Amino acid sequence: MIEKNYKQFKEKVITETLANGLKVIMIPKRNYHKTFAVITTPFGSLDRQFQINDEAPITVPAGTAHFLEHKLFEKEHSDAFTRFGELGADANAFTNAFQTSYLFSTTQNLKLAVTHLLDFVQTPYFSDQTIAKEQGIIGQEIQMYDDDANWAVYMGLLQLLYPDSPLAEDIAGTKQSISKITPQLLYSIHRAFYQPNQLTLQLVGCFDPVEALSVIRANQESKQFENVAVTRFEAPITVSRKKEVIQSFDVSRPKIALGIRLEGTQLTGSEATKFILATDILADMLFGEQTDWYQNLYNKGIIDTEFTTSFDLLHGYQFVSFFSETTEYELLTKAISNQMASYEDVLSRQEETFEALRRATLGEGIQRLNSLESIALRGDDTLFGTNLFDKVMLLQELTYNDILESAKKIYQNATLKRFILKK
Amino acid sequence: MKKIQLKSGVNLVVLPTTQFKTLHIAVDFAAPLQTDSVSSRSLLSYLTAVSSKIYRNQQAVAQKTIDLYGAQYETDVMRFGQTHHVRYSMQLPAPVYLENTSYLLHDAFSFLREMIFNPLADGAQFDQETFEKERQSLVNELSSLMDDKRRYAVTKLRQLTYTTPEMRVLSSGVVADVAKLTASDVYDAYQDMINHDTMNIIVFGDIDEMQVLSELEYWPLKQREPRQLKPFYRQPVHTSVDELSEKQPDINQAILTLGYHLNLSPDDPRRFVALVFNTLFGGSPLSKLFTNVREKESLAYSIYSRWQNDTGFITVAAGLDKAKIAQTESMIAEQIADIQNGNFSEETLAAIKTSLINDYLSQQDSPASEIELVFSRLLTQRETPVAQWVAEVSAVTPVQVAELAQQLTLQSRFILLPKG
Repeated sequence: MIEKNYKQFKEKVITETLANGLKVIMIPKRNYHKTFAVITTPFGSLDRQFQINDEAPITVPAGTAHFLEHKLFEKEHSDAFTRFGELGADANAFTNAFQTSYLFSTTQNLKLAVTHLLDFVQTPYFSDQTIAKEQGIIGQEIQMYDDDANWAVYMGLLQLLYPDSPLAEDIAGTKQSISKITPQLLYSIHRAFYQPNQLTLQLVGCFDPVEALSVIRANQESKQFENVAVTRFEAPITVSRKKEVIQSFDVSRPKIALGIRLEGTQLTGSEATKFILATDILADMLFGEQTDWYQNLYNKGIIDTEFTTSFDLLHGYQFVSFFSETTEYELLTKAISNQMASYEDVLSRQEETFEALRRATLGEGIQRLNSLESIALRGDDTLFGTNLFDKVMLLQELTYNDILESAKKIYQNATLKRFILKK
Repeated sequence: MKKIQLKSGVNLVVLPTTQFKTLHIAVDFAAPLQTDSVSSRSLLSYLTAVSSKIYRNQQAVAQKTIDLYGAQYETDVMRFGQTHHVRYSMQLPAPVYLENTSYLLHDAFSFLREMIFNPLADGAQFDQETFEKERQSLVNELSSLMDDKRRYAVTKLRQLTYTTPEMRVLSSGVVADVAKLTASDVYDAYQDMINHDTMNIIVFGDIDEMQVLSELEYWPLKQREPRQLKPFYRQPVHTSVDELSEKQPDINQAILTLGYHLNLSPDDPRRFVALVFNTLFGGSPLSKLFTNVREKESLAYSIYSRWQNDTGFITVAAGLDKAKIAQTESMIAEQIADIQNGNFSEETLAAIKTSLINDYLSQQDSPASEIELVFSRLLTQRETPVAQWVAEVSAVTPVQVAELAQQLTLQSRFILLPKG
């Protein structure tokens, strides 16, 4: 067991990798009432081709990771969900671009629930019959997203920035793509990405780490696993040619998304986390509520509190985005372009502003540590191996120069693209 | 829970704890729910969120919250039964996790005092320019809410369900009313709130009563006549079902919403039975609606029921294919009949109760839930200790659930359909 102390936060993180490769991360918090547990595989919607050992490469249709997530709950004679219910545990699962996670939180029967979590995730059952039924349910889920205007804007921007890429496809896929899923495909994915050395189990909350680990170890030692080598093939980053797309939709006010793609090599590890932190503060310095820029646009009614900016770094996809609801989108676009063009002037001699924002971001990070779910899921654990405590610690290392460097990387030679959803 | 009366009509509850890394100050103003004041109260919550005499716009407010180590300052409005609430809340990092922050606590209380008690107004009306901007913001927000189709459908159902006009409106206001408000109307509503509303203050975190009391010395808290507050609403059952459907472009799925009257007085101890019944019916992934209508028959992607003890209604909402509406409705009715006839397993009921207890105990790990619970205790003047709550839920029997299910009557139906 490796124990890492974060004295400033009065927290410790215990890590252990079992003989079969399963990584266990435990964060005991004895003054809480519940325990949150989550098991994660780094297999998400962006994973569209892979190879096991030297077997033939396998192509994965859009939506498969999410489909498998749904299907893993269903067993031959039972439903994994029901068992969590009987134990009084609140269970769920989610799939995003780069991971699939299965989770529960409970104030009772922790040992049984952890054992059940491991058992159901590690014991797949896929049949033609259950797959056919799921195709119906997910078909409806996809439709539900299609009716959501905010989702349409988000997907519209991704399609504009990265046309026909896995990122621009719905995590749930399409009715057509999921119709290609077979039991054999799901078993292959499970064999590759659900073997113990691909999985991480996190426990955060009210439990005894020694006891919990012995339950997990006993469970794993009672099972046999095949160990296979996995190669991933990432889809090439596509070229974006269009500068603007307008889509018609019944919304009360136009919804706008603007985006900037970052090209070039992707960062990894704590460097990546640091870059994300720097770009967040940078966005605040240029476009935050406390800036003259924001107040000026707000006064003119060009933006309101719905205006947001964000930065995403997902494998090869790196982009800045802006979202707003406004009829004055021409003026907004112009204002963003102007601010981008004059970033050097805006940022010059702003050390004090940077310091204040860094402190505020630190304070926000500390506030986030209240939530067991955030501790487990809001760090960059899966992508970059930095947990939420590391992330808050890294903030304290950030310098004004880091901000200037990020600004150069993002805004020098940037191309702003625009997606509009309106009546 | 120790309630300290600071002045007549002004109460304080301090909840000291070191469990969390945050400190919370929440201030609630409660008044009887009235159709003609909802919109102005909602707008004043917008105005006081972004301006005061010292912090004159959101830029100044944002700069101040940044200086307070990323504190979150928010205002909100809500409804509970027949009361309307304007809520001010602040959350900041607990000073013990930061360096050189001895000033933080005092600054946070001063900031909140400024935002609540020193509005950007001249004694007769709010600042005209700020007023016009925020009125437009609220109009925009209320219009955008209707872009959320589920929310829209549930709002329409509410209008069909309730007989009392003030129960039909959103707690955040009515677009047409907001558009007509003037800066002096809203200032009058503000004065009414500050001087007459029942005021409850909750402070939660690593802090003791003496510290809070000494900070509140600086607040201009005036005594007031206690408001007649009705935290519960009940209306008699109707013999007919009110129905409406509407078509909208750009949607694929239909949304079916149903309103049921549950015949149960607010103080009836069977409220624990009602909670278990609703969870079994459609309030959880283990429920009849979820497992049968969604999972077994794939009739709807989403379906749930919600019980509100403050209004006495159970609402069902489902997102589904329009061709399946009739089939889904009859299946929902079957689920109710099943429960009425005791057609559910002991195991399912046990799991429902266990999961309810888990949710309840888990709330203790969320400051927001704990604060909400205390506000509701102050309003209803009813406090059930944790152990008793758990015991009451555990004691609910299958027969009680079946009997209470017979007190359910369908009152309203709203269907949103895709055009074409």
